[in-house]
Amino acid sequence: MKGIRGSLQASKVAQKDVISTMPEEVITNILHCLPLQDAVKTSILSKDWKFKWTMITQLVFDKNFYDYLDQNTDNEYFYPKIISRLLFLLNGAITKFFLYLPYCNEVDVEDINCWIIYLSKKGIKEFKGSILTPYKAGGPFLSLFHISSKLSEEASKYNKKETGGKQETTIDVRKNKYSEGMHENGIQDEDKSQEALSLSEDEEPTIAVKLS
Amino acid sequence: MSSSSSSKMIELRSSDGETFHVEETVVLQSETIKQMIDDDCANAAIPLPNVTSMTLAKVIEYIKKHAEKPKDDDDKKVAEEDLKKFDAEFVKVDQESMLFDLVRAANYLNIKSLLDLTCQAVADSIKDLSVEEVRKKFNIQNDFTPEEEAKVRKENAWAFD
Repeated sequence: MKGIRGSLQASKVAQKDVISTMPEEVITNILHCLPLQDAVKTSILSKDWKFKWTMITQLVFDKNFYDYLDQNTDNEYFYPKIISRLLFLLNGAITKFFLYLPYCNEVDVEDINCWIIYLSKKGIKEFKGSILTPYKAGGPFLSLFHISSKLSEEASKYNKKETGGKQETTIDVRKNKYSEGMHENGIQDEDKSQEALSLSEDEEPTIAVKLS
Repeated sequence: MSSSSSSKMIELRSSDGETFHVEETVVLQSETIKQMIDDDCANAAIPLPNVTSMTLAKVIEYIKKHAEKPKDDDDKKVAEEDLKKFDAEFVKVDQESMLFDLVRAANYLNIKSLLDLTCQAVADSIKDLSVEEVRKKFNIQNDFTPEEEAKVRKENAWAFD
């Protein structure tokens, strides 16, 4: 019944469809439920949809996303580039950020630091990461310990500015075997990196910062 | 079950004029209605001009289920499982339009858990579809010229196979 009515309408004038007339925040909510690549794909549905996805406030670069890219391009150089690009394309606040980073030669620690600093200016409330790229000297893990406390300061300032109320900041940085190995030896051996990789399978965050 | 005898009843009126009586404790899950009650605007029937009786009945079924309080910790686990099953069944609606009506109602009534549940259901229904299939499903008119569409595709080429 509905189908017949639908196709009749479609064949007449361009009738407004059921989903495009939804309130903006509802569409954003639906887009949050989609894997990132599917949310971005909505940009070619129609002119109306071109920028709807840029309203999302959560960026989840999880293992699924990484695997998706991995299937479609054989150049791992694209991964950090795409993360940077998406960060800049989003329109408003970014409240939630998840970063899965497996062993990957092309990621520069400074890229990660820049993302975190950028996020701290965009109202980040929840930062989680599964960052497993081994670096010998001052790996991203160590700098993230440092940056995350800086981030919490920055972000709590941001929150205070916005709400004027008092804000509580909680930081929860979970050490895993990998980071402990880093401390002791300074170098990463074969076994340790395997431990780190097995952790990544559970997607257990190696770092989590929550700002409330 | 918790305080059914003493709880105040709230009257809701759907867009097509049907009235529903719901316990205040149940209906407080709607932030919109909670606000009305707080502002003392709920002495007469609350008109909900955006919600049909069919949709409202479904919404009430949902908030009633979600208002049930488990008696103890053992019961709590069972209740959580039960609620998960209920939610999964709840979004299996025959008509797609019903799902959208529920999304709209959840948004208007500001019931966050119901909004999240129904938005997730919409997302799940399109997750594995091609762009063309999504257009068809929602009756979205593609008003891009082929050149324009190619340009947008190029901007985020990685997202398209």
